[in-house]
Amino acid sequence: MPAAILTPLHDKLRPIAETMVPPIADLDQAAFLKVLALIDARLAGEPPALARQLRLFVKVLTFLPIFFALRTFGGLSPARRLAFLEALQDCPIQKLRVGVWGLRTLIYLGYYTDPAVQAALGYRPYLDGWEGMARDKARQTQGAQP
Amino acid sequence: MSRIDCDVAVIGSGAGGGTVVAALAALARSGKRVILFEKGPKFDRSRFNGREVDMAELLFEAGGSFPVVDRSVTLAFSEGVGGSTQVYTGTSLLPPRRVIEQWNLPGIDHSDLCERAEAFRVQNNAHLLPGADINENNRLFQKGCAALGWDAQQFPVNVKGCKGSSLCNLGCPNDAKMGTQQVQIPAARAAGVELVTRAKVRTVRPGDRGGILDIEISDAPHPHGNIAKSEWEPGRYEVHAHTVVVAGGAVHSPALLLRSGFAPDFPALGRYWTCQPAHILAGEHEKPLTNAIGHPKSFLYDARIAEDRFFVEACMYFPFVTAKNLTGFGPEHYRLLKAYERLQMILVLACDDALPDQRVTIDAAGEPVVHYKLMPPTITALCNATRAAARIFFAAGALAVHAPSARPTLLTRGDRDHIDERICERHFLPGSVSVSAAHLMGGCRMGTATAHSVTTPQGQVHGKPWLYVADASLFPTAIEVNPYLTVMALADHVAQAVLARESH
Repeated sequence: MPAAILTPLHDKLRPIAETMVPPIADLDQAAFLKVLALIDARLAGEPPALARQLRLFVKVLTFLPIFFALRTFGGLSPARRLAFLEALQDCPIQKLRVGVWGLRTLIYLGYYTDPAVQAALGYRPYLDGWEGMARDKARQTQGAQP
Repeated sequence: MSRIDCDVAVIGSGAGGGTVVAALAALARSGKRVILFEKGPKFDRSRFNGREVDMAELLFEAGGSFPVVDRSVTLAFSEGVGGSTQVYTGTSLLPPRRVIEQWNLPGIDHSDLCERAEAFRVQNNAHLLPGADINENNRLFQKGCAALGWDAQQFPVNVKGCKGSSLCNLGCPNDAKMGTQQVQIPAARAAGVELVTRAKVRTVRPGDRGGILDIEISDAPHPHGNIAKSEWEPGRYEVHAHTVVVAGGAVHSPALLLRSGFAPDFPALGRYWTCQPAHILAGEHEKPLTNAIGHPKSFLYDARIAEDRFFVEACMYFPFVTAKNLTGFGPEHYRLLKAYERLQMILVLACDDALPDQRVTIDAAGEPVVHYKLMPPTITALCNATRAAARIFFAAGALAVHAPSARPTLLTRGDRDHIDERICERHFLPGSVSVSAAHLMGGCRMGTATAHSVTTPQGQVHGKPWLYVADASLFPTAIEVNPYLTVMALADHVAQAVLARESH
């Protein structure tokens, strides 16, 4: 079991993750924790300093909007959450841009590598390539026949 | 610490080291002891399940996202027998005359390198795939170029028995890709070359009869399950070799020499590092197309390298890598991902300049650190490439194009006549645009003087007749094509010098 790096921040991360990947809003808590567990597993081999920076960055994203909107990130409307993150993504400070990029990449890692999600997107890999695709199509055609 | 003696020790088993041991097979047959050390394990195809995270963690260092210091670029390079030839697409291009002539190195002749490269093309079964094996993603690239009057070139690819899984970058599950682990290393082993895996070379230093390697053999459990053990017992070894060939790639070769204390004698060590940074663009079509089946990379357009410093290639990546490479997040990003089976993809690559401050250093533990910044000419080249790719997408019939250096990032068909204005350097913000690189070069560059180079044009470290380098770290500048075949040609050239030394 990898060390819990982002999982303990699940309540703060959830609105950020839902803003970055809208269908995460449809995940129940167990499924969302599974996304975070995958991220934590990826981070397990990284230097402890990176984990600290990430946790700090999540807190910055959570509380920074208080200075502009008197609300934490989670208290903003979905549109304002998106606008806030987009502003940071395009801001002049490279470290902030990198932080947003890094966090969203980790969330993508946790979500888009799920085989069920990949299948829902239409990604159908076949280890045997063309043969596998032809076999699958033939099976579908047979299944469609009365 | 156990002592081992050998004649030649080769460090690294990718395109460079794998080629060197094959060239030294005659030495092994004649009774000389040649040992190939590889930091990673030997994988077999049963491990290659095609799943993104599993394979990224198994085959790539840092999961394929090794960051440069300012985190504006991530680097993809592999470990394990075969090195990055395990995960390349096998595109087999000859070294370009223009670049080799610019190198202007005595003993490095373009026609000689091409002759060697051609021999490896034959050995590795590089050929043009027949039209029936070209998927729609690649055909659209060709179609777009043709509509623009641009000359798309077909890549020769080094596959044998390719089933079109399109999983080249995650390790071929069918052993169809003719990397060094499939061709050169088995031939060398059959001739008597020894292979020692899970062997990390900590330092290399001069000894009485050549070089001494301090090697650690690992038996640490791999995070991804059972991994073959090393051929040697775990522990520390001191390997005394008459000749040492360093071929750990453009990150690890300079790092090894740096932690071995060579820096004071070689101001260029680790420097002049290039990587041909790249990013992925996606064009959305009306109907689904075959993109995840078939060889992923069959065509390129490179006619504007000399003037505009870029080339573009058809490509296909997996959902997570695609998500990572599309700039931004939120509903628009997700909408594009949902269109995955309707996406055409193009990889744009910039030819970056070899500059002294772009370099590899080491941290306190001796591990490599890459200092690399996206310089303005590189950003301009990436933007020019993005403009060209956008034209290809639209000419191929795309409804919309995702361009990281445009705001908003989505271009619609109405933008076709405004591509130059929409795609702009000011929107290319390092750190928010996903840039990755797999063509890592330099750091031990060849040259004629120690002030600006580390090795001679024969790959021998200046003033160290026992020490050679034979990988992409030798390149004085970026090679401006997919580099593996040039690496092999150059490694073969270096191996001739090693053979000459061992024959005396």
